[in-house]
Amino acid sequence: MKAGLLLAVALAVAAGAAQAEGGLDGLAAEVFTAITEAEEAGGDVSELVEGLDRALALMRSGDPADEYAAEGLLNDLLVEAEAVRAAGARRETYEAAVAVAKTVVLLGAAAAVWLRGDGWFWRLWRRSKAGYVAE
Amino acid sequence: MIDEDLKTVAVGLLLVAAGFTVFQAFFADRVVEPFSELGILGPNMKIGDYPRELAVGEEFDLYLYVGNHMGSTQLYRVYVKLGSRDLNVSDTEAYGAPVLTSIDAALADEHNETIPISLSIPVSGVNLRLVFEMHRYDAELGGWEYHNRWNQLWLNVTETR
Repeated sequence: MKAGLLLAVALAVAAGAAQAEGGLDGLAAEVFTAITEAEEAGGDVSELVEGLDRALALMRSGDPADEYAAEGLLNDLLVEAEAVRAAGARRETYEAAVAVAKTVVLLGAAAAVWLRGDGWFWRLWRRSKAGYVAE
Repeated sequence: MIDEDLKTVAVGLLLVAAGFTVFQAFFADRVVEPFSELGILGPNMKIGDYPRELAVGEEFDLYLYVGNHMGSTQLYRVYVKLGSRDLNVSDTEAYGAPVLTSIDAALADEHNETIPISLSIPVSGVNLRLVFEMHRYDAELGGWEYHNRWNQLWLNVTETR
């Protein structure tokens, strides 16, 4: 518990120091890095990118009120990026499992047809034509 | 005999389907030729009507066109630098002239943006080179790198008009 608290405080201090050092530019770069990680994990980052671009536009205006709004937006994006990364990682894992299962099933079916398929097609055709009388 | 042929075709189709599944899973997102776009548009948002003669401090409007086809989200920075005819622009190294301003844009893959910009030139001179230079943020290195794309406008700037 104590160790966790200490770690949280250390992280908060480090984050605060990094933010003070880089200012809004540094925070924007941090958000971009988080978006990149979320994208690599397979997350849908389109809304995050739009948000970052909106924050950059606010930063361009030079108005302190806009810069304050940009900082708030960037902090929100940093939190959202982590959620998108986690969701993306889950989806990627699921899709990889489905792809592996599909491949195994297809290869298994190919092997079964090759090894045991003699006469299958003939029997299938005969069954489908059962009861058919040529006029 | 027909059955043997059908068996071969069926096995072939199943193997092709399996190969396609593997390709989709591992190589579908690969970008063959990644690139970025940088363009300068005139005040009417078209190629042309660029300012040529200006007075010191006179404001003029342009549009910056940035496009991303890199296969992933990019954070771009376009530096606007003021140089002269004597200092050449390079495709491999950033232009060594003073920076007037910079414009940042974040773009998802296969997206573009046209950004209005307002500029003014603080010094007078003949054949001044206004260079727009594209950089991109490398998240792995944690810094900006020159993206080897640039545009330029030639300007004559007088003390008064």
